[in-house]
Amino acid sequence: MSSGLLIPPFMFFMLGGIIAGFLKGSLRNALLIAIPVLSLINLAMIPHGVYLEYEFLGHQLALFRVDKLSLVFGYAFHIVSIAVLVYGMHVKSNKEFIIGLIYAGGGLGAVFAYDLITLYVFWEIMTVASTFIIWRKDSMEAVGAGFRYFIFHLVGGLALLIGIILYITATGNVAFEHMGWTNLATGLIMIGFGVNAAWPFVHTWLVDSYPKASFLGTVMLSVFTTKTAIYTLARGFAGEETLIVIGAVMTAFPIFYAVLENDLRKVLSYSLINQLGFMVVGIGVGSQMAINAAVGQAFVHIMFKSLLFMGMGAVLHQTGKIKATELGGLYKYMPFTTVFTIVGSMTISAFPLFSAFVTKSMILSSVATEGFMVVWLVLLFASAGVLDHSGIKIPFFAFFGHDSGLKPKEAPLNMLIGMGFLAFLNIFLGIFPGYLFQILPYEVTYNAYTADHTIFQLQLLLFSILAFTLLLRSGLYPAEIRSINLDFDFFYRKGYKVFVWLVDNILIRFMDFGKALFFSYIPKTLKMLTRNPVGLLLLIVPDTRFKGLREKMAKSEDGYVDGLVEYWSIGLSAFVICFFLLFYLLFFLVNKLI
Amino acid sequence: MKDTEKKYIFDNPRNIKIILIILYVLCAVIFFADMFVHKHTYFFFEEKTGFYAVYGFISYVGLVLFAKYVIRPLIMRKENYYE
Repeated sequence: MSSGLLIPPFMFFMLGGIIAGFLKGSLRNALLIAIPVLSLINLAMIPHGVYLEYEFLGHQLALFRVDKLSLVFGYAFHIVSIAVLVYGMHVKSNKEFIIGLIYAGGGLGAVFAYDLITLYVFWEIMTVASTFIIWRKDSMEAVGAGFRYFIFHLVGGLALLIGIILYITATGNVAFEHMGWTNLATGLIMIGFGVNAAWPFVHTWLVDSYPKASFLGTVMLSVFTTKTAIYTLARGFAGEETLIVIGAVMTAFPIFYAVLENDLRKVLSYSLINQLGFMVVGIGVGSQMAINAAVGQAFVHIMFKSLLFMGMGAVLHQTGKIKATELGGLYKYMPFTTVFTIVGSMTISAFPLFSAFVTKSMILSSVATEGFMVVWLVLLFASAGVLDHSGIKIPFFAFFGHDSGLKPKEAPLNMLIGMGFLAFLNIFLGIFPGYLFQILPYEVTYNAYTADHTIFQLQLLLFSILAFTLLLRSGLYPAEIRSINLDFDFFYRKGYKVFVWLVDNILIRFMDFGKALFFSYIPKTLKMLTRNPVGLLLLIVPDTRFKGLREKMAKSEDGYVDGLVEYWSIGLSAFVICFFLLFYLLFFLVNKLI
Repeated sequence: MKDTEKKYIFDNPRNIKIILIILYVLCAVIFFADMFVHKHTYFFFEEKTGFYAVYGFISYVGLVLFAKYVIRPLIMRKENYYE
């Protein structure tokens, strides 16, 4: 099955990342561009199939599988890597690139993994690498958020691992194929994927950590972790109807937060969950059209979401500020960044002629075709919400709105090229969706550009803009306030105090009691009792008997135990334990031999 | 600095007014445009003229006002809340 010269895509990224660590200046930059470009060419030449098989614990695994579903994500990861690496090229330090490339390699390894064990390994590589990306931002906030992020993903990864072990033990099947939620094992696997897909209540790691990474780190983070999760859900759990409900909740609840949030990268983080919700719904519907739609949405989402994070990253990079209350009026000084961000905003809002219009229409149509009316109405409501937070709020508060008095320079050329490249792709794929349709898993017969549909979408968007305009001019639109909004992470970021109180006051007291009982009261009592066994026995018989012995006892030194204490040292304890273990081992061996 | 004297496009209230008028006109046109096209709909209410417009408007206003008056009072805290 495998050919002679076959290099899996993650090798380019991981090895390239390590080599890049030793280079400087333009040589390093040339390598940074060469990595994704060469890897993409390599990937395009590999025919569909399973490659690089190996054996592990008696299971036949394979490092690398190429098929249509994994290729969509593979292509997207490569294309966006080119843009991100160009965007960050002026950064002198190599560290972010080393970690970033290993992280991207982990993402590629995961989407091309053939079996569950290989998938799990790359999954955890991503967890570790992304945590270090968060920590690259040198602030206490980022350190704390990184730890919370790491714990969250460790727990999710553990659920995944237990699920995988149970699944393989029960079925004997290691290949990662469609499984569906059928039992505990697959349920745990789905939850493991769900943590990375930022399901409701386990979404807090995302909105907690992404806004705290560096301007470049956040762009990297926004691409791989969540989209790998979308890929795994699409492969393993397509048509799982629970996902429709989960996805619909994901589209709806973050938009309320996004309206109120002051930190613009946090607005985008909530928006990211909202977009993932659309994909999760599509996966839950599970028809060929819906899977196409969800996967296509993931593809274009990778382009426009990173474009938006790049736009806000550029603002942060140039001004050092990212809160809506501190920004405004930047269109005068950063015109290109403004235009590119607006392209990203129009794409995410699904304006006709922008790529997401096509894919989001497909998702809505596939939901409607199956007759899920309530879900469809929720998604439509969420579409108006997307327009608010990503379509209007991001560009309006950063680049227009009140004049903040900031006069930054335009972002460096390489950042503009990175953004411009993605902006171009968003429009190109919007006008020529055929190129996108070609790489989707199933054949596409869908046409988004019908007259009625285009008009419907424009109605929705234009009247939402009208609503914004009227609310803003009447003063009803909520003013940005320097504040934070409580989310579900409240329960562990404040809840830990309850935990600490419980430990301090109940657990520790209980432990203290146990310590006193086992190390003080019981030994003391035993010592007291064994100090003079004969005397003790004499206590329970009538005083009239053993008179001679009683007199003798009263005269002599009471205990022999005290004498022993002098010799009873740690060494003696260790010796006794060793002796016991040796005896145990001998016993075991003898048993075995007989 | 030349920058401080330079007038930008949105510094002139007239330009903002023009944009608003364009928006209002576009809204009016697009609202009635769906009467003239053949509709392929999934649900009965999509047939009504301007359903998407009304739904979008109401969603948007409802979302923003609900967030402002119901959710914000519940969840807003000072920036140093977790410190």
